[in-house]
Amino acid sequence: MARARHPTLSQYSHFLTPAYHAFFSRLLDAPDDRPNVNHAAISRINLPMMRMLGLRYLMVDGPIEMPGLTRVARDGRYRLYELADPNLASFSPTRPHRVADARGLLATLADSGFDPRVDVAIAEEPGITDQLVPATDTTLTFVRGGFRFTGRSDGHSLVVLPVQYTRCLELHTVSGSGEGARALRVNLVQTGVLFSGDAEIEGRYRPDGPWERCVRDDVADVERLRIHDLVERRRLPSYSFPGERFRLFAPFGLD
Amino acid sequence: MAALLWAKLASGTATTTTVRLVAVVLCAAQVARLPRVPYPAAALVAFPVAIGLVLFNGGLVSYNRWSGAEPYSVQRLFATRPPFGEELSPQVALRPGSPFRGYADFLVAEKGVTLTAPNELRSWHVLDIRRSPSIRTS
Repeated sequence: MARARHPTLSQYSHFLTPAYHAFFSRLLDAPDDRPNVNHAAISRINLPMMRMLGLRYLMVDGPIEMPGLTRVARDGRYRLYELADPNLASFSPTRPHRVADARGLLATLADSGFDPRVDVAIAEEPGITDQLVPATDTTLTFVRGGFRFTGRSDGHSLVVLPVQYTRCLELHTVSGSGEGARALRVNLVQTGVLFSGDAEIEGRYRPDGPWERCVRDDVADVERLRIHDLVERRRLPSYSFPGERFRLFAPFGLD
Repeated sequence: MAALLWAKLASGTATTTTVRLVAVVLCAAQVARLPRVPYPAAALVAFPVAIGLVLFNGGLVSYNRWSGAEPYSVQRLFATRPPFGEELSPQVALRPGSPFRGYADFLVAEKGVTLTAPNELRSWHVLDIRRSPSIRTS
């Protein structure tokens, strides 16, 4: 898909970011999956989260009947489904849910009452007003090295971009009638743009280096959100051994 | 041997293979000690078993090596076009200056390891691998 320039949520890299790994393994992986820090792939259908992340098409190896999924094509045993109303920088929530850390963010996102079109989960962020209004006329265009976002707000609006958040992202307000735009981490992994008035905003990624501390700031975010508290101290997975493990202590809940 | 088995069970590193091997060793030792079994016959059984266990545990010999395959290596390679590539390109393909129209992704339904690769991989990279008769491409 990547070679065909089809953007995917799934990633294969040396290391996923801790926040992305936590998000994917808790919300988009099946409970019996064996998530690892090098690879993220969807194995559980979670429509609210998929729509929030911007997923529009989902290829499935087999038939699925589920409200919100419409089959649009078939190729042998593969089916292509389209999700209704994905987030194309069009989600402008007005109900911020403030929580302390990553565990709280994940719990908020997993709540069945959480509607990503109107709800947003944020950690402690100064300067976010509760009087948010929905943005209108939003567009998102990718350009080399970043993106360009436009939107209109009658007050202060927060738009959830289907883009991973990083401290290396820098926003420049190209033109606008309101205050300068600001990027913040929302929904644990996504970029939120806070702006007012009519705004045309450019997002650029700056490289980390000796004079630039953005990656270190990302690492500090991991500490601040206490993502390491989410790590489950399990035994080594069975595929690390040559053969199936002899589960002597399984009846005692220790395996 | 019993202490080794207990230690592996206690530390959670014992596999069913470990238990089977320990059982084989203990049974072989018991059989070899039977008075009815003459020493040459016992030695004929015990030494190959001991040698085999040492070699297998040390990784010098393995079933996978005998069968011509290496563990954790690519066993079969299928080179295909990504399904729905033509349908998805006009919908979501991302190029500089193009608006974002959504992600396209797949659901991992099987737990097995699947490697999908584009047709371009039929270049020299794959020619090396295709010497193996077990490789199939489509």
